[in-house]
Formats: sequence, structure tokens, C-alpha cells
Amino acid sequence: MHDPGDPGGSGDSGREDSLPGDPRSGDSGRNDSGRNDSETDASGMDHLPLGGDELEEELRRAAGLFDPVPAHLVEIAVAAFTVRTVDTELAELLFDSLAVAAAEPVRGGDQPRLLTFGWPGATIDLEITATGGRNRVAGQVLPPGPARIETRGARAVTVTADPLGRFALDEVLPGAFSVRCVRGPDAFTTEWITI
Amino acid sequence: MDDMSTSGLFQAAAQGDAEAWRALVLRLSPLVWSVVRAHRLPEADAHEVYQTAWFRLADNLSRIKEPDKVGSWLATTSRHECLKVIRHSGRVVPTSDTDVLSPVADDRSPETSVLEAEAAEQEADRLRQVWAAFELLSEGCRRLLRVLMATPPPSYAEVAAALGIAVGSIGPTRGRCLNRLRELLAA
Repeated sequence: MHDPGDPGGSGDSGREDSLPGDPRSGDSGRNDSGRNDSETDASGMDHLPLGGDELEEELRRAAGLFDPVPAHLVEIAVAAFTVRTVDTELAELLFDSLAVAAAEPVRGGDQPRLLTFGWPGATIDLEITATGGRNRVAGQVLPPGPARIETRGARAVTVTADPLGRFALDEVLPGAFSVRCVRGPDAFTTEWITI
Repeated sequence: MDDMSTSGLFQAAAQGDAEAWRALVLRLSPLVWSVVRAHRLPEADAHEVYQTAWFRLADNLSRIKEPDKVGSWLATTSRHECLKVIRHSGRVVPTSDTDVLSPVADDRSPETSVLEAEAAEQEADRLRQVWAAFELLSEGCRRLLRVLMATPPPSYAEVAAALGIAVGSIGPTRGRCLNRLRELLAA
């Protein structure tokens, strides 16, 4: 299930907005070196149009000039390599209320966002409430039991889950978010989400 | 390392090669950024989604079984994160947000200084016109073209993944949008 059509290997893409253009169904079989306009699409499509390439190239140069990737973001992405988790520790995103809410035309940010991550033999539930520019993250590790909960990222915070596995993190800044749960010999780490 | 294929870089990174990872980030960052920009998120949200996409890829390096689809994987992941941010804010995607895609960027590209040169002024003027005309296009055209203008040019599979559309719809829409852009530039 961990193919490119399944971001995060979480299985959530199938429940949210799987559309005909998802890589699973829409892949053209081209390699990653870019488009090859003379190539026939794997789905049987005829040659793709060649016209407009010069203007598209001008757009490409304009984007590089007027809307480049911010340099500091590139460095953060490079640094992501050193904080990546061990494969066997990764707890997959099993449920995200924002994915389920896809069919609703408008959804306000007033309701808490609920998420569940699964790891062999354990799950971790998160409830995220936005308050002003900060977030409160309440969570529970199941089966219940004390644990050490560490946030990943620049401003790492450690809290302790109570005997029922419950914990809370206040004043969490918006951004990429993930927690690592350590209890006894076990340790697992949630996939990253944006909060 | 720059002449290695993207899938080669991915495979080397998955085996722990930090330099390959850096090269992979440099190779595919414009694609991720283009997907985020195409969804016209506010600046702070755009930065966060970009980061989440790369953090997720780093965690999933050993789980992705088709290295040649890493671009599509990133494009899909970025799109899903964009949609979640949009849903969470309860906001519709703005159709004309002058803060987004403004020609004044915080981080100037290296080309900026090069273009100081007089010989390049004409090129810069032309690109400014192209960029201004691009801003006048319909939301649908801006979305598609913003992804298509990533560097290096994305594959159609990556564009489809970035926007959640069928591969077959890209060519005709691209042609129509570029024609519209050409008309705007001629006007």
C-alpha cells in the first residue's frame, strides 16, 4: 500500500479525494526526466500538443524570477533527512476528520480536528483545537498506560501521558507536527501532519 | 549528482545518502512549491505545506516502492495537505489574492542579480509582462499553468497528481490556457 498514489502510506488517500487523476489511475508511464511530448500516453491518448512550449518556457523563467522556492524552506527540507524516523517506528495516519469532511462544501475551523495513528499493537488519538494563532493538542495512547510523548521539530517538547495514556500539549505553533511516543521498550512516531 | 535521474537520487537517499537527498530536494522543490502555489494558500500555510510534504517523504523513504513516481507522490501529498488546510480554515480558495504570486518575493532568486545587467533588461521586461498577463487568467488556467511551469518541467502524471485531474484533460486545457495568455500578451 505504500505506493506513490498513497501519500504517507496511510491509506487515507483512498478515503478523501481520490479522483481519476490520482497517480494510480492517471500515470502516463513517463519517466521522471520530464515530459516527452512525442510519447503516446499509456492510457491510449494520442500525441500531446506541442504548441505553446515557448510561452510555457517563458512562464517557467518568470516563475523562477518572481516566485522562486524560498531558500530557507529548501534548507528545512534538506534538514528533514536528519530527523526522519526509523521505518519500523512510523505510525500511519488511519483517520483524519479533515479527510472525512471532504464532501462538505464549507467547514469552519471551530470544530476540533480528530486524528488516529496506528502502529502494530498501539494507536494514538489526537484532538487538535485551534485557539488564536496557537493549537491545543490533546491525545491518548491506547492501550492505556503511561508514556513519554515528544514532539518532533525545531521546538521539541516532552510531556508525560498519565496512566490512562492521556496527554496534552498547549500553545503548539502552526506548522508541520508529529509526536514520538516512548513506553517501555516500544517507540513509535506519527506521520507528519500540518496543523 | 545533478545529472543523476530523480529515481536514482531517490534510491540513493533511501539508502542513507544525505547528498542524494539534498539533490532530490533541489530537483523536486519547484514542483512541490508549484503545487502549493497553484492552490493559492496564504503565505504561511504555503510554507507549512511545503515542509510537511518533505518531512513526510523523508519518513517514507523506505516505503515507496516505485522510485520513478516520487514526483507524483510528492505532488499528491502536497495537494492533499493543501486541501486539508483549505478545509480546516473553512475558506474557499481565493480567486484574486494579490498577496499570492506577487512579483515581489521575499527570497530573490539568483537570477535577479544576473538580470541587473542591461542586456537582460529586455528579457526581464518581457517576463514581467508574461507574469502580469498570467495573473489575469482564470483561476483554472492559473492553477494548471502554475504547476506546468515548475522546473524541471513536470511529467503529465505529476501534473495530474498535483491537481487531482485526469492526465487526458491536461493537454487540451494547457493549449487553451496558453492561447488565452498569448491573446492577453498581444492585447
